[in-house]
Amino acid sequence: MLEKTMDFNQIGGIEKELGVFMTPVDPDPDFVQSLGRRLRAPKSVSIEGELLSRPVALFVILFGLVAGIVSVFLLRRLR
Amino acid sequence: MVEPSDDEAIVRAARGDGEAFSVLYQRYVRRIYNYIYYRTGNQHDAEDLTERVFFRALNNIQNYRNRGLPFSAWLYRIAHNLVANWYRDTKRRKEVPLEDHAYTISRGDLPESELVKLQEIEQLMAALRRLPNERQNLLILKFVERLSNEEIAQILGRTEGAVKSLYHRTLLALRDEIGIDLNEDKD
Repeated sequence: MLEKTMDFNQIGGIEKELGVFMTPVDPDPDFVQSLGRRLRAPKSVSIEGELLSRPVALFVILFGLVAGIVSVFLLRRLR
Repeated sequence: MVEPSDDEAIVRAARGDGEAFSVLYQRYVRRIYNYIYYRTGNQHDAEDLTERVFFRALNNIQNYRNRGLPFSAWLYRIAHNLVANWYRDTKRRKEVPLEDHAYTISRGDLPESELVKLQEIEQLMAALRRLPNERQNLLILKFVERLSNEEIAQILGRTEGAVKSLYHRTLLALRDEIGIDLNEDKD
């Protein structure tokens, strides 16, 4: 049976392990450079994904509802 | 050439000086990336959200008001909101992959004792991500960013005493979370 290597029962043990493993990571230099270039570029209209997706999702839902209501109405008229 | 202070760069950036914003970007990109990386657990989302943070900052810098807090507090606030949206929109909280993390090593190459250690680290990081947002933020700012309690207090909008107290409660909560994990593993 393998022994546990870390002492998680003691607060000090957890603190020590966090200090060892929560170390800064370096972002990809290509990413940093590319984003820096785009931020320096003349201002353009940027639509953030989440802002774009909500109206689109709302439109799809409303369109589905209207289409459903119209379909039910037409089916009843046909009968 | 002497680099402008944050305050100078903010004023110039708000007037549309791209170079001034670039100075702020270079100064803070690593910190914001690290914060998001530890909140999301993977490089792809960390890059995507870091990009959104800086574009949002660029588009709103003219609305920035210096209320005596460091500029980084404003950026962290944007990052925090975007990460919260990311969790809400994708409901990935329970599915955050750990494969990309810096400590991850090919398991096949490891002796058993190292494998146990790796498993314990993963339990620790998984437990950390189950903590409430503010507690995760606190641990990231303290251990990854190596900020003092005073600096953390400014960013979180709390007193230094409240941060110390929250830190202690966070470690206790983390210990309990890990305890739950270990018990589940036994079952």
